[in-house]
Amino acid sequence: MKFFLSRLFAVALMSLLAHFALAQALVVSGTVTDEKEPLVGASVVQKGTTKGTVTDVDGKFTIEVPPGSTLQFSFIGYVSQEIAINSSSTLSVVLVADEEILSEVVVIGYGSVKKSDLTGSVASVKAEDFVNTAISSIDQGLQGKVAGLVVSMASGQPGAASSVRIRGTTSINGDNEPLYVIDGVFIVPETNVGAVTGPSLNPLANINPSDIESIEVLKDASATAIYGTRGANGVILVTTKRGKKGVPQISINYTRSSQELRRKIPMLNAAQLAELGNEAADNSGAPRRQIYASPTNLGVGTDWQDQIFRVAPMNNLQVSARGGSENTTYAVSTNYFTQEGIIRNSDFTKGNIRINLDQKLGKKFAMGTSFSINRSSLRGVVTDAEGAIPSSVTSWALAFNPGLGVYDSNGDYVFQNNTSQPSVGNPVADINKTEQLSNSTRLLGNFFVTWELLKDLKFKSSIGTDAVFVTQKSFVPNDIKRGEGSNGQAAIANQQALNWLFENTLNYNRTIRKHSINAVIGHSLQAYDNEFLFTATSDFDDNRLGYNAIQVGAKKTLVLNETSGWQIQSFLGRLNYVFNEKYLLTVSARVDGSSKFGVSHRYGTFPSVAVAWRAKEESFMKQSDLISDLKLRLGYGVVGNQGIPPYSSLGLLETTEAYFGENDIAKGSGPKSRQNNDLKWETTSQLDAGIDLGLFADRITITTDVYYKKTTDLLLDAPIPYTSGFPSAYFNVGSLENKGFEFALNTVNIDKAVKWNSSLNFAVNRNKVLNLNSKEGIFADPLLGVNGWSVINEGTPIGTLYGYKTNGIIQTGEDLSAIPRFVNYVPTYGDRKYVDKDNNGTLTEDDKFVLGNANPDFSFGMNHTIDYRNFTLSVFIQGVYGNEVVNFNRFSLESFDGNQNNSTAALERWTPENPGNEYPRANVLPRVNTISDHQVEDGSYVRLKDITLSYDFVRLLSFMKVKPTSLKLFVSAKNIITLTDYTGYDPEVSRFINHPRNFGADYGSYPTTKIFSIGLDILL
Amino acid sequence: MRKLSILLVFSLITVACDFLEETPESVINSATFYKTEADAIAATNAIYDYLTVGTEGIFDRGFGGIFFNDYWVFKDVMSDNAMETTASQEYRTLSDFAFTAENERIELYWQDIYQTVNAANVVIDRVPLIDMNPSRRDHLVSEARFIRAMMYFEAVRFFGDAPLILRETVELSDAFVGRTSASQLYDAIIEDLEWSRDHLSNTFRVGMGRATPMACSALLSKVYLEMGEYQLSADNAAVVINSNKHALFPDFAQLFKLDNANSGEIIFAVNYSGTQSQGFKPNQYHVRLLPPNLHKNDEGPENAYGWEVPTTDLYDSFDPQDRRRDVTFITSFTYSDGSTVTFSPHFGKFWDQEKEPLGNNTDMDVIYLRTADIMLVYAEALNELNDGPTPVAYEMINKVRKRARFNGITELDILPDLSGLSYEQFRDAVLQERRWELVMEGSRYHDLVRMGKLVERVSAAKPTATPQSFHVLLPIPQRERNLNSNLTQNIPY
Repeated sequence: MKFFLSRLFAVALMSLLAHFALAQALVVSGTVTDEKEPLVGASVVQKGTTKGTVTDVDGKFTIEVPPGSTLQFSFIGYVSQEIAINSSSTLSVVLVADEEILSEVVVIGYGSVKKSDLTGSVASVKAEDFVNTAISSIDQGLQGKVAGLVVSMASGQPGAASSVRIRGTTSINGDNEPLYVIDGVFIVPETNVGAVTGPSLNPLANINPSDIESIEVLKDASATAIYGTRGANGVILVTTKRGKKGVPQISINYTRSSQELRRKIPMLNAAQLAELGNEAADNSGAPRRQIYASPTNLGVGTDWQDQIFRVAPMNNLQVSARGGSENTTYAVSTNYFTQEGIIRNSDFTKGNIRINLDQKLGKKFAMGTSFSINRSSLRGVVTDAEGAIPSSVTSWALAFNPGLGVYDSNGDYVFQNNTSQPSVGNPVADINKTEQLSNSTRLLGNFFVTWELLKDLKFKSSIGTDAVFVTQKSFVPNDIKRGEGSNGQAAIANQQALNWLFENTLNYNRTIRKHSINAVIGHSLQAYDNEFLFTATSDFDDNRLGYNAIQVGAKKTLVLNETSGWQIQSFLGRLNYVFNEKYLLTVSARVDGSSKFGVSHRYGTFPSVAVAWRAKEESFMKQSDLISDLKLRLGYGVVGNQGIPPYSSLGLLETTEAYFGENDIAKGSGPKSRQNNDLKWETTSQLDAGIDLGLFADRITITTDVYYKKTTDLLLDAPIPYTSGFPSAYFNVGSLENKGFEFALNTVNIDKAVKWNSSLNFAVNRNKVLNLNSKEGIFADPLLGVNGWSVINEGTPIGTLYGYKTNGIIQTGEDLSAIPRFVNYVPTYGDRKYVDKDNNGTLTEDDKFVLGNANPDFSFGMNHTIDYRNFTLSVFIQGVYGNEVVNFNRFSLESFDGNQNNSTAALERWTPENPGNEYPRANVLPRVNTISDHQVEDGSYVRLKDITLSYDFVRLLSFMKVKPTSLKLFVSAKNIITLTDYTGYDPEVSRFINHPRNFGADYGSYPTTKIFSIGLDILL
Repeated sequence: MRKLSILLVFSLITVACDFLEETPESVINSATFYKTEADAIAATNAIYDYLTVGTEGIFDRGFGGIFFNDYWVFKDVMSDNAMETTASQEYRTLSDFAFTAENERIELYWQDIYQTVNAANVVIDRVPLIDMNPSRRDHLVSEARFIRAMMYFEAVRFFGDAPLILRETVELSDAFVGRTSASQLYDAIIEDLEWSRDHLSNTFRVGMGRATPMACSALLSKVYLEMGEYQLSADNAAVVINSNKHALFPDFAQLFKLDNANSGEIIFAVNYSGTQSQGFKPNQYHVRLLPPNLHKNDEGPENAYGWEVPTTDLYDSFDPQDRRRDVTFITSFTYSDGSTVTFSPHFGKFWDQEKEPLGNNTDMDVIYLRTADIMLVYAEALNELNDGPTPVAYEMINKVRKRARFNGITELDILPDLSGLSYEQFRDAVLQERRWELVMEGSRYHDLVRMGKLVERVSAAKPTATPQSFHVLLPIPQRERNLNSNLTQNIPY
């Protein structure tokens, strides 16, 4: 029976074909568009044949087909359509974007999965989010976009590195930055060599933001366990755009921006400073200073902030082309970016060329490469350099006497401040004469081959490299204040770092009825070699050659070189199993061996397991119109952190030098560190539970996660008894926790002629140190001579700020003997009062309170996109709430001693006639230099981070024969509105974000800016 | 075929077995060191760096090495000799006897002692295992044992009972030890010094800041004096004096001339060189002691702060014509144009003005043992031994006084020879003579403690100071007690 039917079918088919062959051909023409615009290069094929054509630049096509045939319309990224043809006609085909293909695949490291199959906490940021924004590096583009990811800038200097934290601080001495993996290559972000003063070059600036296809942020341990000892701080996977089959798609983007200082700090003018100085002298019974003799004659004087700051332009040109044939695809791009700094004489330039190629080799093999060459150059001024005495030009500009001009009567630069602060030089002379240059060349690339061993089994071998060549040069001439002590000084440092990676993986991907398996196993070798050479000279008689001939300096100050490296060998595996599209299981493990650790602990195993339940697929939910998607996730994993210097487990010797008489330099080798065979990685275990919810046909989607992260075996450079011969050693002691909650909401608010989409993310993280194994807390580095402003203690968060509580001002007539006092300081009327916690009359360390926490209570970001006809408006708002910042600038800005210029707070100083209760009296004598709640400020802010309006002109160009796919003009503004109570330059800058013990300080930084941009975006 | 291709793939995966070995190239791994004579010398040389400044040079956190400044600052600031003028509470509280166990300078003193001890222990443990010339090997170990003895002599005098660590720190538990009794520390010191004395070479690495048999005997005489072993103290002092290898300089001023470094009366000095270190590793004599604000037009000391200044009590105690007053203090400075500025007395004895007119980066060594000191030790020991001065005791103290009478040209009619003194009077005379002779040379605090005069003398000289009987020992640094629960505290700190 069966045989008979198939015979019958075959006969019928043949007769049909015969009939077609005789029929007359029909001419079909038309256009293929998506919901917005024509699709160029869409394929139009007669079904069952190879006969076909592609649409032209207007999306038009013409084809001849026999009657009764079926035309297939297809385009990558869109759902194919079939139309039966019975007569000649003109068609208007609208293809619908295939959401499954466009947005639903998520890269998870060593593979990718459908978003619906995800079991871990992974956030994706797509290419669109980086377009049209004036950013120089991807980390800036991530701020506020992902719940639980906080970007902090250490400096506003163009090209400066920022710091990224995913789900809090997990390490005290180890690294806290996430692992960056760019097209499978692990990036080693170490490029500061130390020859210049100020922020280090941002390694991520080497990636052109417009090259990015997507960024995946792996947050929980079940997602990052596949990265083993480098997974503890989260992983950021960057995937660059690859070529697509079809005609070349060319994109040109040019943005021109203008940057300016967000706010000036209101400072005293010359007359006001003189009055303050005189009052301070009078109050202390000291003689008045000559320079302040006649305040009124001094007038307003020089505004030193205006002298160093400027409105500065920024340009970004980006050109890319993508295309390819059946077997070869390519994506090439170039980028040139220039940014002048808002402080004169500082700028940042970078250029980038990228080539991504893919080639099929027969049916089973393919190969490809991603390669980019990047050059960046940062010309800086001295900022972010404060230690015991201020040396940043920003601090100098604030401190300098407004009664002095930039030049003296001979037309030479005024040399130094003439108040009682001779260490402060003329900031204008300093920015014009001090030279600092950091150049970085980075080659980043990989080459891979894939081999389909079986239908479902694919082998991939990839070799990648990240090579960085850095040169830093600095020169301080002998005729400015900064060069006075050394009589001119120069330094040059060179660094060559080579990181290579060799990985082999086997991927197995198969669905058998209700069972779907996606598995990977692999092996990875990575090595890092670093060489640097640092030379410095001083005592220059001639400034002309500067850092280009440092041998002019008569004294050899320092010659230092170092070679170091580390290696990692790993075995990895992961299994994703889906049953019936409902029940999901992911099991993964990585065995990492790292040379950095002691011989007893070279290898560690980092496992994870996660389960998820797609409740929406259950029969009882299928009918729901309200709920369009519901998935519950639960994951647990163990990851590590190996972010300590190489050779930390070895007993190292250091080169010593002693002298026997005056003719015998005795070099030696003395014990520097103790061998520690037990040194191993930090271990972070994390539990994550999440819900993915879609409502109203996914017009509202919600992803929310709660997590608990515990880090044990903290790699502490912990103090040890001096009787060992060493002050400290790396140990695996101590533990800390981070726990939190994340919420992300995406909504389609209006979906008509006007389209309005919104997204909101919100995150809460709570950090606590559980155990340090020692009664000694870990103290912040002293800043301005202030000790212990932040201490890492058991039971409190990293970033806890300590100090005294002020208690108003001592008013005339108060009983002075009842006022608590510091040792060696007798308070009087108009001085600040502090709370005496233990009521013993003396203010000591025991009277310090917890004054704040540098970690925010929560952080959030909100984005709105509104499309109407050819207009697109996007608004991005971002903020943090509840963190405190120690505004160290206030120590100098409110010195009230006439020794340097002060902020206008000095106008509210206490006087017997005007007895305020917030600011103390003027006084030239040194006051107790201690931190109090007066310098600890609320760092919360809400910021209109970006607002962009774009207009697509392409429809106005319909008269043109060859017209672009899109031609957008856009204007945007960044940081134009900031709501904050913070009184410093900017609440977003945190100076020492890289050092957890110094977290939450602002002093002498390069301020961040407001940016206005206009740009053109052409897609051909 | 499929199986074959899978096998092929796995063969591509090259599991590297020794891939993770660490082989540092620009630092030396101690596991590969201590094999040759050169290694033994390098390890021994290292001890001197920790003794003086530390490898970080002037960038060291505590200006490492006790001789950099604390050795000679502590012992006169914690006495009736010197006062502190810096704002630093750490030094001020030492001067006022108001310090606590949290005092950072005391903590750093402790650190420097044990860091140097560990470097010495490395040599003492490892060098004997090296295949090399045996007498040279013994000499290097002797150098190390001499310095270890110096360090424990500091520890026992300042802290009393203290951890006695005689082996290199291998396991961390080695460092978590309790305090050993002072008498055991003294035993260890004596054993080290006697061993050194008997094994030092007289042809290899002789002197110039390295131990000599004579230095061992001199230090033994001081150690035995502190112990109250007066006969042994006198015997060892006699060895030094009778050898006549380190005769007194005729003029007190010669002691502090750079040309006389490591010679004559100087038995042992911790060597420094501002010149050879290009300014990175000089000691702080000039920076701390010379008067500030004198530097003008390339004349007068640069970078001088006058942080420690003499008490009036000290200055006034000298006979105005005593050569030692003239050399010890500077009270005026004359510029080349003939103009002169005068100022309150500062310690100027370590400044060789002709050789180093600008002060600052000095080549001056820190004298640790010299003959006048040992003569006074000899005199004190004999007085104690015989319940009164013997002729030799008089001879010793009077030789020191005679030298002080010589003003460089002639002997003045001051400081007459002593005679006819009781035990008590002679003891006081020795204390007085040591005060005049050894200002800022690391002696005064220990002398006052040994003779039971600390509270009495400091109270008389410094009205603001509050010395008490328990100040004969320093507190064990609180940091160490926080980290190591085996450490007890000196009562009542």
